[in-house]
Parts: sequence; C-alpha cells; structure tokens
Amino acid sequence: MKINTKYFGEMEVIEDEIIEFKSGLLGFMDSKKFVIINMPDNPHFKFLQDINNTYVSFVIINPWDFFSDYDVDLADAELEKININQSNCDKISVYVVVTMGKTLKESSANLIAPVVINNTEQLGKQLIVDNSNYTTKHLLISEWVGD
Amino acid sequence: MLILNRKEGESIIIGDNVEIRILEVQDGKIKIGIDAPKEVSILRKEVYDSVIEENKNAITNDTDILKLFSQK
Repeated sequence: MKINTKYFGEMEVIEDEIIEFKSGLLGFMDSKKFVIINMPDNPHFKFLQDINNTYVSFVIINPWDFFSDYDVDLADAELEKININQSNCDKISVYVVVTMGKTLKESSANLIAPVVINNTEQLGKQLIVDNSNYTTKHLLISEWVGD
Repeated sequence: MLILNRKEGESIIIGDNVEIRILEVQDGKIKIGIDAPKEVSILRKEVYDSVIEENKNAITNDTDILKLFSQK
C-alpha cells in the first residue's frame, strides 16, 4: 500500500511491516499504525511514521548506539500488553524518540519513555520507566555525532 | 471531580481492585500507598505529562532536518 510520509513523500509499504500501537503513542492516542523508515544516509537513525497522519513522524534511535550503558527495567505487565513474556522476550526491539535540535549535538533522546516493539507480531507500545533516573531529554553524545 | 476527606491510615477503593491508602501526612507532603492489579500502570502525573510534551516537541520539525543526518 502507498502511504504519505513526512520526509520522503509517497512511499510504498508492505502490510506486514505495519506496527500496531493499540493505545497510540503518549499524546497521540489516535496514532495506532506506524512503519519504521530507515534514514537513507545514516544507519543510526530511523523514522517512526504514522501511516494515516503524515505529520506524525518521530525520529527514533537504538538507545544503545548512543548510550551504551542505558539500562531500563521494562515492567513485565507492560510487556504482556504486546504479548511479550519470558519465552519470547528476545523478540523485541527497543527504540527511543529523539527531539531534534538545530544540530545533532543539540538533539536529545527521551530515555524515560522507550518504544518497545514485538517483532513477531508487529505490536508496539511506548512505556514510561518511572523507576529510573532517566528524563525526557538526554543529549546525543556518541563520538560519531561530530560537529 | 469527586472530593473526599481522608485521615492518615484511611483508604479509598476505586472499582473492585484498586486501593489508595493515606500512609502519612507530614510537612505538606502526603505518603500514599496504592494496591492495584499489575496491569494497571501507575505514574506520577508530572512524568506522564512530560512524556506527552516531549513527544509533541519531537514531531515539530522542519522537513529540512534530513540534512543533519548525512555523515560526511
């Protein structure tokens, strides 16, 4: 099917790639279906694009690419909402949302609210890890960010 | 909004399985204990609100952000 993306215009996506967020993302309760789009020139960044609302497109990263000691305790009860339990907990992807600044160095990652995806069933959920020391704003600090 | 008066040690029951107990009141701070099923997420509202605000910040980009990502 064809979708309209915020940054790349019209794109063809495969239905199997659509990820369902049953309760939306926080503040975006109506955004329930997304696809992940790779950044053409940079393997470290992706977009989480709402397939029905062009404007809703988040920059996401693998948190460990930038914050190698990132350590969060994802609540079992929350993971169960996307059908993740002890037997299939290796089938998840974890991303965090980036708020872009004028440069990458001024951009920050929201480490308190990771986006977790069940890769087998294409189900996603944004969790809040309130039992952590993380906040919504951590500057991207990896070496390659450069100037 | 429903408003109830509670004293230290007293509780409120919400639905069949959520209990909120006032554990301690001291110096303008209230310590609250909550018993709820594990699937009920419990968050401090300011944290919840901050995530919503940051999500909204995160999509207010110009479309020219793409140039920030090119690795030269």
